Amino acid sequence: MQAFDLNGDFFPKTEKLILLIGFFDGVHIGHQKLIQEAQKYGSPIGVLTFSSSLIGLKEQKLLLSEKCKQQKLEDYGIKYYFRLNFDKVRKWSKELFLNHLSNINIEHIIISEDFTFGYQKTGRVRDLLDFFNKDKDIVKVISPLALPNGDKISSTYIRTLLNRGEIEEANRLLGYKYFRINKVVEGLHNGTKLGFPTANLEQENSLVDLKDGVYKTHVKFNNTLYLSMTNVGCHPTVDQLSKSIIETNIFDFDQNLYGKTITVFFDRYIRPQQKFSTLIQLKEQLEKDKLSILNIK
Amino acid sequence: MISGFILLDKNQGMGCRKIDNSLQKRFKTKVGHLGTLDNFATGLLLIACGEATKLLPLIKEDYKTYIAKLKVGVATDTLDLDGKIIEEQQAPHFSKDTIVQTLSSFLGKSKQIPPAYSAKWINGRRAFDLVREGIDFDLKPIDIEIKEIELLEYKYPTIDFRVTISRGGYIRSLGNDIATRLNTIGHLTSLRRIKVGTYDIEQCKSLDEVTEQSIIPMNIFLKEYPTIELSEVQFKKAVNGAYLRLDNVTSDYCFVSYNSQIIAIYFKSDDIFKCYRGLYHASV
Repeated sequence: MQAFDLNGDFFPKTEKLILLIGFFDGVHIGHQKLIQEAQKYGSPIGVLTFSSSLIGLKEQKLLLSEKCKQQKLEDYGIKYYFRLNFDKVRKWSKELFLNHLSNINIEHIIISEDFTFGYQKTGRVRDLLDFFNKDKDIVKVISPLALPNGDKISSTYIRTLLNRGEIEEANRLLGYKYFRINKVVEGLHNGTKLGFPTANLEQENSLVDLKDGVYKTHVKFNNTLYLSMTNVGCHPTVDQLSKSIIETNIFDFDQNLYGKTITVFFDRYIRPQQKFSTLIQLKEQLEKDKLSILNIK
Repeated sequence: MISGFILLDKNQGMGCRKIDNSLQKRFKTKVGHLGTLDNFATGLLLIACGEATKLLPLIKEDYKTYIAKLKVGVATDTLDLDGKIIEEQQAPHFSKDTIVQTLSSFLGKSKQIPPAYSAKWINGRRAFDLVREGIDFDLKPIDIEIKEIELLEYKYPTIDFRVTISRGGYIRSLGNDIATRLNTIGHLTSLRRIKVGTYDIEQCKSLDEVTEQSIIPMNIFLKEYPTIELSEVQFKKAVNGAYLRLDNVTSDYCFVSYNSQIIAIYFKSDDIFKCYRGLYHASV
């Protein structure tokens, strides 16, 4: 995959491509449907997306970090990745945006029928069709994937599911297991004292808040997968923290992970965070959690 | 008589019992192995010679690690490439992500149905004999645990993976189960064992390379157990398997020797040591 950081002043020369436009946070099954549609034409696929300063503006947290999003799109076969600096282009009128698109060597643009663009979302699918589809059907419109209740599948909805601990439904809509790739940082070593040493993930404030509690997870380290249980929370029983952290206890694992990067995949929500009156009770509960996780099919 | 262990790298196509027999001839002593590998499989085979055969139950082999090649789209009756093809279909192309997620779903404890072509005993008969005779039987699921799993390579239609599995788990069945979870069929085209407990394939020699020097003495192979040199009085007791009082021994088992010759292995029972197995031949 070739990636470009763009400021809106020019567009790099490419071969003729199928273009997808959007924020693509989470690269969920709705996005995947667009990609599959694009693959039918057999030409290389480019994604036009926006740099994530958007988060600051909308106070919206992300499902995936910029790096993970890019990686996911590469996994799905995207060849060109154009990241437009949102601060530079967010005030563009729809006309300006359309003119900018016309600099791209486009075979087709594939969009879903609810697509909007331009300042204050004034640009609609109709505008794209009028601009591009004069002689040829450049722009192809597909209907977005919908939930049984008719709502479209959106990154916002998946974020809400994760806030609520509905990890399995979130995973279904993502089309993969929700994951975090982070460095392991030093913790308070309280887990080790309890016989459950944990790898603490470096905090990433731009990412979505997961519901506090214990999760069945698995970890990828050096490409090897291990079963683990992960706590998201602020340690109500010992040394209460001001903010929730993510820490994972990898089963039967004795390698030193400090400073190493691991991936934690979230499989299932096991139980909410709980305050125990004694450490022994906490330890007993952790043992029960581990046993139930080991036996989940 | 030579006694000790051999870490062998088995080659493809040879049965484990055949290997034992060939070594038995070479060293003129009894030979046994731990954890049979299928004929088509290669890799680490732990072999005991002479008195060491008595120590096989003491070897920690709770987990074993394998590298396997699973070919999707073709099923065989034995679940490996030595069997008859029983079904063929166009297997879908998977993303690496899909395969990794499928592999991850096997982590932890689960039940596994052993292959019909296995050495499992069914009412006093071997399962593979019953299949060959066309007799119907049910195989009971066994409990397995998968500790680690890794996708090594995916080149359609072959999935290479590495797995660490509890004792008794069948990789042929796992391969079949992986294919099923990917909504297809498949069989193993190669299988290599690279670890048994703490023993590693790196330490192994091929059958042709094995000489008397390759035999690892019992107390060096089982280095977690100390060797205690006995006095003459203790030696006479040990030869007869009598209890021994051994001070300063903290482990549960220990070898006892006299003039550096291994006599027996003892185990701790309260404050006394009892004979676990005699490892001594008067002729030596």
